[in-house]
Amino acid sequence: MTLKTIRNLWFTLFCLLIGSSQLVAEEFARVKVMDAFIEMHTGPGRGFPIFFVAEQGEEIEILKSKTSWYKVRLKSHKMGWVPREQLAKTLQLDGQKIVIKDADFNEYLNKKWEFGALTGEFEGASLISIYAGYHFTENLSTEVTISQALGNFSEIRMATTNIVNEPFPDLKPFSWLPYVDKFTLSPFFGIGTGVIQTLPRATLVNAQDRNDNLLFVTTGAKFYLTRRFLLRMEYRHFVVLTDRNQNEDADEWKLGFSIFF
Amino acid sequence: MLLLVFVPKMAFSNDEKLAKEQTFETQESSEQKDHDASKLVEPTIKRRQVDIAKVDAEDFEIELFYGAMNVVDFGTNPIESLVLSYHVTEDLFVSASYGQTKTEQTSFEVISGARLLTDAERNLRYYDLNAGVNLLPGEGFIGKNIAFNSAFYAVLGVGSTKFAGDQRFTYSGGLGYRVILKDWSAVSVEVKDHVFNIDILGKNKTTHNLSYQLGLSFFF
Repeated sequence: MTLKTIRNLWFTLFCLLIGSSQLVAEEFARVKVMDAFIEMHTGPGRGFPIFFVAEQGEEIEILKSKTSWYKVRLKSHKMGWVPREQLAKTLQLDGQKIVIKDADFNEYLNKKWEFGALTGEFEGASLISIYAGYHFTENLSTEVTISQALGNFSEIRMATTNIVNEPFPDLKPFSWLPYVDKFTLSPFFGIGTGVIQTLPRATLVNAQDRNDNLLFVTTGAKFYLTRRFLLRMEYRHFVVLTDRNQNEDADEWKLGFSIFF
Repeated sequence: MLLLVFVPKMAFSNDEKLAKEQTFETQESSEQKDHDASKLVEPTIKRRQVDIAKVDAEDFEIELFYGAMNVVDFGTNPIESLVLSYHVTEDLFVSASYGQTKTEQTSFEVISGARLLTDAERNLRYYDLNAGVNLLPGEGFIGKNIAFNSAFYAVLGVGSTKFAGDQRFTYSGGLGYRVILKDWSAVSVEVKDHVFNIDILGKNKTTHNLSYQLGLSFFF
């Protein structure tokens, strides 16, 4: 390897570390302030002080976002953070309105991916489960769940997959009441299958690990909280297909949070 | 072509006013014509629509922690952990963490010479899933001119701790203070309680195991 190759290699590595975005002049979205002014904060949050105002007609570039805050750059190279509501007071350079998906509620209805963590109870054992879901339509989705239940006598591990139907994805049961009229929930029903592994506790003697298949029905509800946040409540009834004479029934209750994209 | 013929014809007209009007009209018509001609070449560049949903979002945070953890009866030892968070709003976040520490002999073991656990069983590993909330956001000053943005935060979650040969269901709760150094980096100190049951010393008892850690995080 020649010295030049090594030098080139180092340069490539350096570029990768720095991030190509810094070397190639990146084109950011440009907008113009239409309101009297917009306030720029030092950081992405209401706790950060306002240190500058961009005046009407001023051109700003939108660099990046964090939660519902956007980092902007003025022509004078001053940078600051503005909340989403303030960006609504800007227009594109050609006078068109910029696309601001108001509230993520529309995204909630058109969500594709859903990820969440829940905790609860499986046959008296404390349960933790994580899941990933994919939505084919707003009514139909499929999910994969991994769970761990820790009881006094055993540790249970489960991996399941299921199909979910949400007949009313934006049910507003209190639309006739003030304050809670926007409260949205979506009941769901589903069926699925999976595997269950039972590992007896180390303190028990002569107990053996068991692996079984299972079938289950599920029902519950998703509650839309804010932005990309859902609260999820779920009940599952399992039939564990054992190789003994009788199959076993098991119940599971859980509650948790999900985010969607 | 018809217009071109039309223009000189009108120029000869005595009525200047009318001529002016007509010229104006022809100018307009020729403009119209140009416009029509330009229509034939459809612009292929699509107008750039500013969609703020496409702005690069930095809502994820990865955090490396190092500190000490006290495991009831098994001493206080160094701990390292890794936390991945997603900031849902400026106030709410969810996180998943993994940590590990090695515990030491109990006083009972030291005095009696008996051994309760094997070396492998002495390792403690945990994971937990938390929901967190940022509290009292604001600015913190160092001296007169340097200010950092900061916030307290609280997390609450559930998880599992593998210790003494078994997985133990664990409730975790913590309080921390995060100082934002740069848009993309922060430091935090965190105190967390890991609550789990342990039965190796005869009776099944609930223990509160505290960890205090210093962390460095990156947003992406």
